[in-house]
Amino acid sequence: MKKILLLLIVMAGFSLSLAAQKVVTGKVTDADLNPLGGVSVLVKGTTVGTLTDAEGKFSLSVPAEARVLSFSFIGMKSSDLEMGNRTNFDVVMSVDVGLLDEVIVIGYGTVKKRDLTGAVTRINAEELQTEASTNVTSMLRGAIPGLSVGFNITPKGISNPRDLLIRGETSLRADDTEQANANAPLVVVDGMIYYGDLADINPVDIETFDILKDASSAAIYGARASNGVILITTKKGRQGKPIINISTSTGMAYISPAHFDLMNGEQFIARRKAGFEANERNQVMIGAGYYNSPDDLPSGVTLDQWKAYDGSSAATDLIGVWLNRIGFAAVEIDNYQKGKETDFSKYTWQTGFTQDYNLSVSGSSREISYYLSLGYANNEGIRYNESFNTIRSRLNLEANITDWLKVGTNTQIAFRDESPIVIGRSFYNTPYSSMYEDDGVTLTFSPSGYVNAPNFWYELLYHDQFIKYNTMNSKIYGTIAFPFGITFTSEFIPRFNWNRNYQSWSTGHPNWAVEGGRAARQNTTIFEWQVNNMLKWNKTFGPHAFDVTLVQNAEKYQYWRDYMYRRRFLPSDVLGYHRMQAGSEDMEISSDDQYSTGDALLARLNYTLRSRYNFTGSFRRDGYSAFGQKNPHAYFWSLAGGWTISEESFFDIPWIDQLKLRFSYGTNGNRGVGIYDALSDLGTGKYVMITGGSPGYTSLLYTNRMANSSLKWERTGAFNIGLDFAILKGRLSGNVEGYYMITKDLLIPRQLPNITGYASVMSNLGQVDNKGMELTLNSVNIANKNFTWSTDLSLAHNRNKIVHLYGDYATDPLTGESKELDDIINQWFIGHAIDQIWDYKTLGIWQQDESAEAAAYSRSPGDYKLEDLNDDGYYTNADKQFQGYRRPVVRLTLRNDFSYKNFELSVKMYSNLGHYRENNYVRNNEAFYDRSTYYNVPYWTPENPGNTWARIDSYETGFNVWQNNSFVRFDNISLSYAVPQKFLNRFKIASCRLSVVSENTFVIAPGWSWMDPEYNDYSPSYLSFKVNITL
Amino acid sequence: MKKKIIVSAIIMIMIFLGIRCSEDFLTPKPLSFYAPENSYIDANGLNSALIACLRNLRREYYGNMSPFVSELIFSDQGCSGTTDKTGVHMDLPAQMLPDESMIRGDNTQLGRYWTENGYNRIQYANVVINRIDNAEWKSDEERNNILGKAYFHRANVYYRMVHQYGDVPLILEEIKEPRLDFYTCTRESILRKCKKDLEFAVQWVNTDSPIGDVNKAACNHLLTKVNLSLGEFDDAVTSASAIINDGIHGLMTTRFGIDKDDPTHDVTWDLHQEANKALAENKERIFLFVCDESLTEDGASDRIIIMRNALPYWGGAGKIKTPSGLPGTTDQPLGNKVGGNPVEIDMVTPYGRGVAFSRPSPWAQFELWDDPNDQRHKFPNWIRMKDLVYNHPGLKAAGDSYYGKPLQLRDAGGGILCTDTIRSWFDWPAYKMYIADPTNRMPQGGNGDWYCYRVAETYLLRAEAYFWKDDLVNAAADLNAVRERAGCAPYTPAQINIGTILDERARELYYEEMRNVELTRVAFILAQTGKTCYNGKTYSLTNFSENNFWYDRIIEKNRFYSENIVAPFYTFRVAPWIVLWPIPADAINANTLGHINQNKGYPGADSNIPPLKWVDGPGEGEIVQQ
Repeated sequence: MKKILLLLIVMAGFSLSLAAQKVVTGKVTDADLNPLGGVSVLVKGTTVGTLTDAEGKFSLSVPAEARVLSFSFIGMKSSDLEMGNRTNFDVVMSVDVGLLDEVIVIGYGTVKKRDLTGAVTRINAEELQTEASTNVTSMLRGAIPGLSVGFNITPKGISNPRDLLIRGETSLRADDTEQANANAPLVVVDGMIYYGDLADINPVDIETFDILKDASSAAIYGARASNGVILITTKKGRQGKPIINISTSTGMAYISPAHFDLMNGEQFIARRKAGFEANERNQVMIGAGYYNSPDDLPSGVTLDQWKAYDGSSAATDLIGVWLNRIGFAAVEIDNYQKGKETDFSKYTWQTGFTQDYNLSVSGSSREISYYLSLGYANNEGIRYNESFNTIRSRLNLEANITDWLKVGTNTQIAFRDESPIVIGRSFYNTPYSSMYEDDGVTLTFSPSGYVNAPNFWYELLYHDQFIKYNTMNSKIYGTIAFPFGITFTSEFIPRFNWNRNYQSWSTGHPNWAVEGGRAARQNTTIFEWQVNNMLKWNKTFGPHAFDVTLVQNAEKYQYWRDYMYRRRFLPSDVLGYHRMQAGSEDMEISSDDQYSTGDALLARLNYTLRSRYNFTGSFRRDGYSAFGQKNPHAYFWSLAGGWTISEESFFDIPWIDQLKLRFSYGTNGNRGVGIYDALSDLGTGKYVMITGGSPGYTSLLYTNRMANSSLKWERTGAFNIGLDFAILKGRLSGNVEGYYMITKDLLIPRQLPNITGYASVMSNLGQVDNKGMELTLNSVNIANKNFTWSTDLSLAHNRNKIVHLYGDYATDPLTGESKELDDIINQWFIGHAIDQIWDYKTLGIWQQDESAEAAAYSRSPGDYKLEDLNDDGYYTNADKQFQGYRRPVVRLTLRNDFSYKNFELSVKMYSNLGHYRENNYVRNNEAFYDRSTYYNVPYWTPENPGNTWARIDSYETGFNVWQNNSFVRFDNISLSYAVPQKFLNRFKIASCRLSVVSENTFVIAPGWSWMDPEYNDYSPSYLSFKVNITL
Repeated sequence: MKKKIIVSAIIMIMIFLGIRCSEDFLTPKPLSFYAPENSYIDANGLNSALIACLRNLRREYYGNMSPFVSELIFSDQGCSGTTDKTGVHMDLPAQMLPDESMIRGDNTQLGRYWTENGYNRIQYANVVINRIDNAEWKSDEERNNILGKAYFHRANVYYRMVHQYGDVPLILEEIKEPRLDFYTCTRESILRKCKKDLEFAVQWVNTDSPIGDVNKAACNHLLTKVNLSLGEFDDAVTSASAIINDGIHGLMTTRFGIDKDDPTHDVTWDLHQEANKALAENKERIFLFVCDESLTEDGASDRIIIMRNALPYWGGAGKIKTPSGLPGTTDQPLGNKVGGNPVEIDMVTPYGRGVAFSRPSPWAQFELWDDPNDQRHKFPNWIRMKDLVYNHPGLKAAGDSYYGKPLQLRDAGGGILCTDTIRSWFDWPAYKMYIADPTNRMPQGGNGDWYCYRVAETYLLRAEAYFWKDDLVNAAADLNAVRERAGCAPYTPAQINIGTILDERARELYYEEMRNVELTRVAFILAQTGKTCYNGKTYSLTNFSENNFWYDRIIEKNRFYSENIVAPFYTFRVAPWIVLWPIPADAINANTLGHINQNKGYPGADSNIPPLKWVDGPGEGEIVQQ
């Protein structure tokens, strides 16, 4: 792909001449002089070319003015030969061992891949170009072993690092979101620690991702790096004439196949009846067929008996009586009798139209290199009215002022519009509800007649929302080159984020009318800066190569928020949030300002001996104001070594091309706490009292948080061992990583007995160990003249264990041994994984013949049956058991790339295996049976018993149903076609590629009986068509 | 070259020095919140902590499914009327378990009695008690008024908790560091501490506090309850009399307030009108929660949502039918369309919309009322279902003759016309239960005032104290003061027993008294004194969890529990040990270095150890082994 592109760029501007021709011949071999067949031989800058035969020989007729012959072969380094006057060539190709000279970004610097000591994975964004979507994180999903990316359900995409996880969880939090935040990797864009929204980064601007997984490589970011680091490098101008790239993508988002439809009228009535029969026990006892239709009475029940059940003896509208018994409102009865059914899916879901347009200009000369881009994306989602809108722009500029001074900037500006109100589903819209009045255009107030469920489109009509973000992330830098290989770089990195969140709720909505209109207006500003001063020394003395980096860093974060919320707008609320002074009553006027600071000093040495022994050592001191009372600073260090065995003279295994062993140990920190978590803060509020006859405000204060002035960093020490290899002439390459991470001084919300008045206090306690392994295999399966097939497989396994918690011990009354105490409330157990399930075990469903047994637990047939381990007749903690894990045991990704002539097909799948997830939907009580509809899913009845789906509105409190959540997802299938150069030349187009991409094509989850295994509701699939043109 | 190096070096050094961090660069700067160190330093700051106590107390009564609902469900007077979902408290022995979460949305908020309204409030009060001498005071009076109010709040929580949970941990100081070594303390000694604190409070707390705040009479009222619980009936008479005879408070026996000239109403009505509760002339008010529709910022007022909590679901679609078999009622306001037809008879605006989180027992609606002249049981103070009419606009459209006619439970043939009589069919005291809700299309109870303590209860408490002292003449006099104000004929002294006192409380104090707590208090007094109860039984503390008056009274009066009424999802059941609720397992499990006992009857009680007890001493006294 890359080569083709390069070729096409160079070709641009050439005009083909068919005049003079000459014939060249030759033979291609590998280093051991074995002939190589299938090698592509091409006149550089043209499409004139051929392939070598089985004996490695070729013969080619070339234009007279042709100067350079290019030889390329998968797994081998490409080479160009100046032809001169020669007509016969013997070419020796050498194995390309995983692009060993590729430059990898390692944080405050770069290193050649061959010199790496840590576990760093590089992805070239360009390789993902055909499949790329409009968000960065979709590119990363399934691309790297050990990096898991959350499932994306919105058109905006995953945009917060908390939905990413590198290796395993090291931190413990009581709250799921905080847990994710505390385990979020650090994101660094072009050397800037990036705290912005990932959606502000345009994927087309990205050149590479480098993922730092082990402690040694991440140690350079010390205090925040214990969850790994994602380094994003954006594009720069390339040497040569200006390049203009235009890409467009249009497509659609549609509901993925992994979903349940809503019930139709017939299914709805059957479920209603079953719901009433299962629950309204008095009525069922009154008489057989109470809920039956008058046309379908059980034998032995007369119509008069049936009518008399609820005093309907005098009734004439028997269908009305029946429908009333099964909870139909007047409007539903009316629609039923008219035979009018509505499928509310069409008011809830949509097929979204997605579009993404990008334009970039780049180039480079000796004095200046530039990359300028502008992109616009407007993605609609699958939920009605859902859309995401962004304009993103980037300028990367670098100027060589003199031979010793260089200045530049990397600046990213983005506008985001998240205003559209998303219509959520409402089960109150039954098939017999009316969306519109009889006129067909006026929305009904309550479609189903259930007054607590106003028409869900009233939100669109009467709620006005304006949410916009303007952000700028910038780096401005200067580099001075000194003699002796010393350079000094100073960087200033400002970040701005302006957010406006305005809302108004109009009096047009009957429920809001009584308040005389309501509106709120919130403005948030973030200004943050970082300063980096870097001194570097890079020098080679004979076999010794040194690279020394010294960095000084400081940062400050400031946040301001103002909020006003008023109601009773006078004279009217037609101006909504645009005229807040029209409000006559305050609901809330508030402000919140925050401030934090950090600093760091670090030193790193990279030393390479004879280009086969590599050594890295680093040391870092970090400071953070959240720990500023007693422990403002912490120290972190790392050591790592690499040994390229295959470079040794004694190494003589012909089929192994490269073998390198790496080992590292390092310590890292986690500062993932709130800025003020160490301080006690007082909650405030107001209260009303009457003094002197008139009511007025008085203030209240209460302690929210227990202070802990000795709070400090969480520390992770981690070992990593890695083996890189390339065998069979580069046909198969890959690496294996193993690691062991020990996290201590966990920033943990220590559980307190709630009688203290606090639930918990932030403390540094405990120890969590993580171990795991990762395997990557890249294989070239077939490489023929017109057809190639390559496969990338990765596998990651991680398991953690809580080793210590709070250090409280008690003697076990049975064994007499002293044992550290668990935290039962947060379900953290010493010796068990954070994600291990401790819960009641479900044993299927109570069946009809077990009703007496079920009654002992206050359950009925059709309810879930739990195991009462100690048989005491109660379900208590004593009955909870350790079951499986919530996190996958193995994560697998498999990517196959095929190319045939100008076509390329890539198929990416990923799979999470061996884990469990709650599927409480099988308890069948998500929706009130007497006033709403539901998905068309099975339910237990005495006539249709089963062991998975419970009766309608079954007993639900206090337990979960765990199901095997293993799945395989076909995440991305893309087919692309490179338009032939001959055709493009007519239009002076360097290259043009057309592609069709299917995302989230389908998912297979055999043990899971709900919708998408990674999401609990309707999820989107995408189909898009892309055009990418380079001028 | 040399010059270049020098220039560069200078630039470098300048940059390094320029951003060298100042010493306090890493000092945390809280910008938008207060810290204890700079706030709890004067009368104003410490009083603000007590206002937080008040807010938590008010939230026991206010809000959707307030914790207070549980006080009715666990009593002779009511039960859960929520028939449309699982998780509500109906089958008590099956559901009242230590591991069950008791804070679950519309199901129950009972657990907040332990946390937000319980130990959180104790912590706020302890902050004041601990820091009282760190603050600057103008006078002893100023200091002791604040301290006395803090004692009131702490005693108010513990009085309630020892009757809901029995023996509980007693915490008397502000907890500033992690602690996990708490032990259960005896109920009796906790009450002793409450008494000591309240005796200080009645001496120092202002008589003329702002309306809405704790005052001296409120302290005396609570002290009376504590005195009764301790079996110190003379002291109870004294503390109750301190209110009745203070020259400020008294029963309202004449018409007053906004409707005083409206002959269709009476003094019972006046007493409970929102606009009248805070009036200066209302002598019956001791302690009031104040909320105001125009003062709602920052949680200053709460919506009481009392109609939603405790009125029948009379407007539920299809729940109530006409004898002709058509849907009879709607809870939509005037002009709104139902099934295409506009509502013309608006019942939701004058009565409010209920969903019956709590519903009264048949006894509380019918048998309880023994005097036909009782104002509290007469229209329009008391609303019967037949006072409502068939208002569904579909009836009018269909020309149904029942439109506008009173609701009826049965048709001519005796067939029942309401499909859910638990939730949708019961009577209620509208004079008390209607709180205007102007910001809600279907009123559910807005930002209105509510009595916490009222002189009528003081009379009934003193009547009870006299009763325990066997002074039936004085007991009858106090009880009759309340009865006669409501237009009832007086009882003779011979008629007075704990049953008639509890009956009168039920009539006068519905949705005001904590019925479960008061029944449990009486059950404890019977067990402590060994007196023979009107039901012929005697009780003892030794087998309290198996045999107690609380259980017997519920079985005697509340047919839901005694007849095991079958509701959707559950069958109503109760058991003797539920007199005390289970200690939340969370508290026990997190308290790893101490031991909190579980109440008898619940799993986990077998590992109980003897509780500690409080003994008087310097400062806050001591908690010691028994």
